[in-house]
Amino acid sequence: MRKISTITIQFLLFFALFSLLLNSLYLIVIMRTDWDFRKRIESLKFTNPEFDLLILGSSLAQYGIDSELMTDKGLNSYNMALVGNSIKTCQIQLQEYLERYTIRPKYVILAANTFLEEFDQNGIHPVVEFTMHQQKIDLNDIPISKFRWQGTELLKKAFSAEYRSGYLSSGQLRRSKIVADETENNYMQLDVDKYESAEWVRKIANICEKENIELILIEIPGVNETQNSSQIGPYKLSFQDKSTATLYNLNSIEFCKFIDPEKDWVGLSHFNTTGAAKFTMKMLNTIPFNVSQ
Amino acid sequence: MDITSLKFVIFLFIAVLIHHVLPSKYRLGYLIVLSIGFVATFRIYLPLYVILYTYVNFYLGNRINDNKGDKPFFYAGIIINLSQLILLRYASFSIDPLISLFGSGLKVSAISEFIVPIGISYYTLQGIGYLININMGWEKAETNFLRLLLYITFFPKFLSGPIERSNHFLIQIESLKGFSVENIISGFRIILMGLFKKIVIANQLAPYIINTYKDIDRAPGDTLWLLLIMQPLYLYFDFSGYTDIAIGSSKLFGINLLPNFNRPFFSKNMTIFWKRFHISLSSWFNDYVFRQLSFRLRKLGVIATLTALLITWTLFGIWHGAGWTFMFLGLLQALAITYEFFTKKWRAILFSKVPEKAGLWIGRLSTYLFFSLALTFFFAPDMRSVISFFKKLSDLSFSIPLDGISTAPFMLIIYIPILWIIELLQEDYSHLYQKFELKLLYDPKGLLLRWTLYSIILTTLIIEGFKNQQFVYANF
Repeated sequence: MRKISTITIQFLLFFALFSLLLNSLYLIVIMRTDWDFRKRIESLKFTNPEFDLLILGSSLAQYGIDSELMTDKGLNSYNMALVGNSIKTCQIQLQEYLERYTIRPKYVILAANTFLEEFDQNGIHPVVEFTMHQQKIDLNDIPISKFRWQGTELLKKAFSAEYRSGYLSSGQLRRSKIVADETENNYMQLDVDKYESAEWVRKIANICEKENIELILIEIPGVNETQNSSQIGPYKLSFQDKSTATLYNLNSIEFCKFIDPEKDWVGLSHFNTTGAAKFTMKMLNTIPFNVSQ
Repeated sequence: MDITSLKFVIFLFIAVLIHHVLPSKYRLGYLIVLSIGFVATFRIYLPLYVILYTYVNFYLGNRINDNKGDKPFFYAGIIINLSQLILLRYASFSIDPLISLFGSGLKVSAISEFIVPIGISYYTLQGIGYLININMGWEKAETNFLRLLLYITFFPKFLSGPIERSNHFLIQIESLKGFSVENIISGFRIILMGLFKKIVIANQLAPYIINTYKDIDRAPGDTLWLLLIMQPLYLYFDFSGYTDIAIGSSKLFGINLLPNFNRPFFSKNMTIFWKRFHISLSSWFNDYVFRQLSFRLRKLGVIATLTALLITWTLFGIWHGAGWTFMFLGLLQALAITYEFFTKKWRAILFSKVPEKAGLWIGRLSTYLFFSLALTFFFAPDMRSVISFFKKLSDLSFSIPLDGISTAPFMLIIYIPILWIIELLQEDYSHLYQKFELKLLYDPKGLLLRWTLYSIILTTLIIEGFKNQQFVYANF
């Protein structure tokens, strides 16, 4: 019994040391290679940013909105969207940005998709949570467990040269791969109520109202089967706390006519570089931004 | 209590500690209390039923023993065992429809809502096997009821086997072994491997397999091809993972359970495959159904073998559940084994013309493919879904279902090949494997490598979390 107790204690000590080394190494690798991590660190280290527009949202916005192109067109922009981001995290990101930097953006684009309810309820993005101001680190923050998804991303990069060739530009993730959309339109209807009743969208609208920022909500285009047959809008939204926002239904079949289903997607409703540029131009022509030339 | 939960691991740890501190005379009682407690976690009344079930078999076993040559007690035992199985597991398919023919709305299957039939398919086979053993004179009836109770309820194997043989189990608990460092280390090592197979591999595959079968009509052909290739691996890692946990847990208490898997995907035909996959079940059907039937029908010659094969494998299919899909699953196995039986010479001539290794791998691949196809009957909810599945296989767009955006469990492309290579070494390069095993597991110089390996497995378990995903074979 004494022998097994000794072996157990020795092994537990070994395991603790092993975990410490492995997690430290993993964190260093992830911080240097993961797109979300790099972008997050970049957004925390801006020196006096003067962005006219911030883009918030999930990977659909991260892939789909070409912030460099928007800057070229006179709207200095940064894409803060993260893979799998929740609206709650978007609210945290915006709040943090406003606390950290003095110059307010004129616009915030919050890009939602047809699964808004799911993303509105989700927790905080692990990369944001880990790097949040005054965040207490506990056992749930063991890097190898907390950043599982980032590990999967790393593996994808290790196996696929194409995936590895993706890169960040003003926060936008650019990938050139083409995956054709073979789905068919389902002719769904836009549910405006879900936006007005979304708790974290309301909180973002409230912050924007207080800071005199125009909040533009967009339902970002998806593949044919997710598109709806409602009008593009704009729809004026008013929330319970009297804050307001404007919603553009850019996932309407009418708006999405510009998309070439054979060439513009990289998979699962995510635009490739070409699709993103086309979408961004079309969006700039649809939404009346006050562009400073 | 889910045996892949952290709760179970802690429970096991404490249970083993107490077991080895206790004087040996209390260990049998202690294991019974643990097992009954474990069974009660599923439904509080379940232990009462299992105790009653054991007592009936205990009584009948002794009567059979005392009245050699007098068959009523033996037949009564078989009828009672099968009746309670049909009543609690198959009533909704067999008894209820019969009753409804007479215009009655009585639902006999409602009994199973009260006495939840968890583990019933396993302990019933153990009960029947025990009675047959006594009747055939292969073992003496157990005179200590508590020992028989532990045989039926022993918690590591209660839920999903292995289907233990009474003459293998009871002899071990006559004097429960004391503390052994080797048993403890080896037990934990087997459990760790089982948790890895179940949590890190099978649980990652489960959502894809289960969700696709829920809605086959919407699944593209490419996904179904991927599913077809993956489903044997899913079942294997799920069930062999469970078995490893059961065997390892049992070893911690000094009890060795029968093996259930022996590198089945390296079998060169289906006859060998079923000697290596779910061994405890297939060997049970072989010993207690096929051989008994073949013997009784021996005057019929080859027809006896064929009839026995057909009945055995149909029953084997039905054991998994009462439905056409399971019956077809069994029949397909019977067809494959019959084909192999009758074409043995012809195949030997044919394969003598190809290099030995090539022939071996052709056999292995075709066995795997046949099992993959047969498993569609296992996973599909009904025959309509099976037909739909096979029809849709031709609906190919040649797109890769796992693109860069996908959230698929990419880590599996590392884990599965590693385990496959280990099994390949064990199977085809056993000398090399034994050297490697000796160095890794027993050489004091290999300690650092050994602990690093354990730490990696533990880390992957932490990453994947002790999530609850029911065992496929827990349904039987």
